[in-house]
Amino acid sequence: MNIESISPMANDEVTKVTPVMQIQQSQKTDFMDHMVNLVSDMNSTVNTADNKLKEYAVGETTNIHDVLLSIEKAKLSFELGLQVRNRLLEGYQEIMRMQV
Amino acid sequence: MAIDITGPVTTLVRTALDASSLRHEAISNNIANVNTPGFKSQKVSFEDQLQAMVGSGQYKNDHLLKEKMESINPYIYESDNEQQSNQLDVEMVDMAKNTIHYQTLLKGLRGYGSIVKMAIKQGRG
Amino acid sequence: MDYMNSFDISASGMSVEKLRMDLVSLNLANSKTTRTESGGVFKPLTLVTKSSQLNFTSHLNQAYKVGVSKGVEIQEIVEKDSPEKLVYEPGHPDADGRGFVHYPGVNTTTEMVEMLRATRAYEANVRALNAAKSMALKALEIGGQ
Repeated sequence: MNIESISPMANDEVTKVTPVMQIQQSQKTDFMDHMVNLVSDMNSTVNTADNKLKEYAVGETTNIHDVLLSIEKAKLSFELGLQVRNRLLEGYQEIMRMQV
Repeated sequence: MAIDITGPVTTLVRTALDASSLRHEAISNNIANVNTPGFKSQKVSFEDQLQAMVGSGQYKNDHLLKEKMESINPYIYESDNEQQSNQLDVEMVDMAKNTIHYQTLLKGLRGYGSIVKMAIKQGRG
Repeated sequence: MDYMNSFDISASGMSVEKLRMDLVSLNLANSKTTRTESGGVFKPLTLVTKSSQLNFTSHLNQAYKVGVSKGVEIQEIVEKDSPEKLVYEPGHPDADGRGFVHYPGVNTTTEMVEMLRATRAYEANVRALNAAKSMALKALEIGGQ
């Protein structure tokens, strides 16, 4: 039985654990940033669509496909935001249902 | 978020649709009278009423837009341009332009409303 | 980019071809006219057109560095200087000293060809307009139905 050979292994285990936990921490803050970005993107596409429609109705632009495409983009990004929010809500409710 | 289905953007688009259908009436009248001597072609005044707003970019502000829209009314008038009065192909081109304008406004308004509808339904059903 | 502009261009083309057709009819109707209000024999007319420039009012147009044409417009209506036809008719009230009557230099064949060109160009403009209209209507199908 050689005790000296075991202890270096134990040291390695300890050092391996901490970097992984750090990665999980940084992922959590990135996710919140992503959510904030998503919502602000959604807001900007909807505002763009609003402005383009106003410009078309007033007569400043006559670019039809531009107006319609911006409305489609607004619809899609709004839908995406909505579905992400629904999934998050479902996940949260799932967790709350867990019997601890 | 800027989507307000009762807001000035909806009023603007609705008034533009009114003007467009009024224009269609004027154009049909002109086409029906293409062989009438001395007939002055009828036109609709709407875009020129909006000109002041367009020039200064005021329409971007919802508040100013709402105030302005209350004073704008499309109406038919007779153009007194005797020389070029009432040519059939010009009226047909105007009709094509007007049709597309009307349909685009309608499509835009529909897309606008469907965003509100999505929010109400919350993506379900 | 701009459907309204393309309609205006086709409309200007159609107006010009209609005017060209009017001039052809005028020339053919007056092919034997020996007297006009300005005195002298009728001179056949022809149309000179030029392409009209768009005013660079919107910032979008500045992206095009070349002058964007707004269609075609009439520069002027000029008299053709085709030689008059001389016919020997001594009894005619407009006969000159030697008994020749000056008839307008209207070449019927040329006028008929011009008429055909005007008709075909008019049809082509109408076709272009219809194509632009169907493109715009297709654009309205973005997003389904």
